[in-house]
Amino acid sequence: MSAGIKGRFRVKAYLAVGIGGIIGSSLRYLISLLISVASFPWSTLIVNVTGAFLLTFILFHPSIKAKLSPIIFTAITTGIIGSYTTFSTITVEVVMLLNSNYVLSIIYLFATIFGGLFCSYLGFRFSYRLSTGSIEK
Amino acid sequence: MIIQILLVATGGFFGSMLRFYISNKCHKHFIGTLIANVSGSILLGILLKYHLENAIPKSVWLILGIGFCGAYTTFSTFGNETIQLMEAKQFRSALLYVISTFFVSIGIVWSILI
Repeated sequence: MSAGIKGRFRVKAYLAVGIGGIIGSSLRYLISLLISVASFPWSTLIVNVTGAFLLTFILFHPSIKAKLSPIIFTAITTGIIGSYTTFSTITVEVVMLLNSNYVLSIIYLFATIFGGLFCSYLGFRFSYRLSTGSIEK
Repeated sequence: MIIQILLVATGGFFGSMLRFYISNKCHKHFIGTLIANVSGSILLGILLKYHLENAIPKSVWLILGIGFCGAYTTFSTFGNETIQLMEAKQFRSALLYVISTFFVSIGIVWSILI
């Protein structure tokens, strides 16, 4: 019986992540249509840094996780934000730019690595500060 | 445009579930993200090669390239895992993780596309 419940939970979790993936990848595609600059991959950089911030902010926020069911929480984090950000596009854009303008390619690579990690850190610190603040109260 | 979004969304549905599956198989260890990001980059590199040669229809590029590979690979989780390694003062692992993720995938995709 418990295996059945576990199995059903697992199917639900996968479907929730898949539905999150529908939302996240559509959003990423819409942003790429809105911001299409031929010379520099701005849209990928923007979705990745904003998604990096959002993920750590939500993961470490003191109350968001507690207010949502585990399945919805996974759908938002792994599903929506996981699919909204992307890695494979960065790789092919870096390689294609290396071919046409290697200086821009290196700028893009470093902006992604350092900008992205900085935003991940900011999201984490923001939530961390909120959680220590609430403990002090 | 609605059709294009539906194609991307279909790929995103399967890509995100496969990433979730690999992450669970690897017990949420960052090696799962590394596997997804490197293998997804290779697949996208191959697809882009055919896309640039007009050897595949645009619909295949939207489903598999933008949708599936885009959602199967992720940057936000990579960022979180790197920051958590740094918070745990595992600076060498963090550096290795960043370098292996980027340079392995860029190196292989470079050899496919150039």
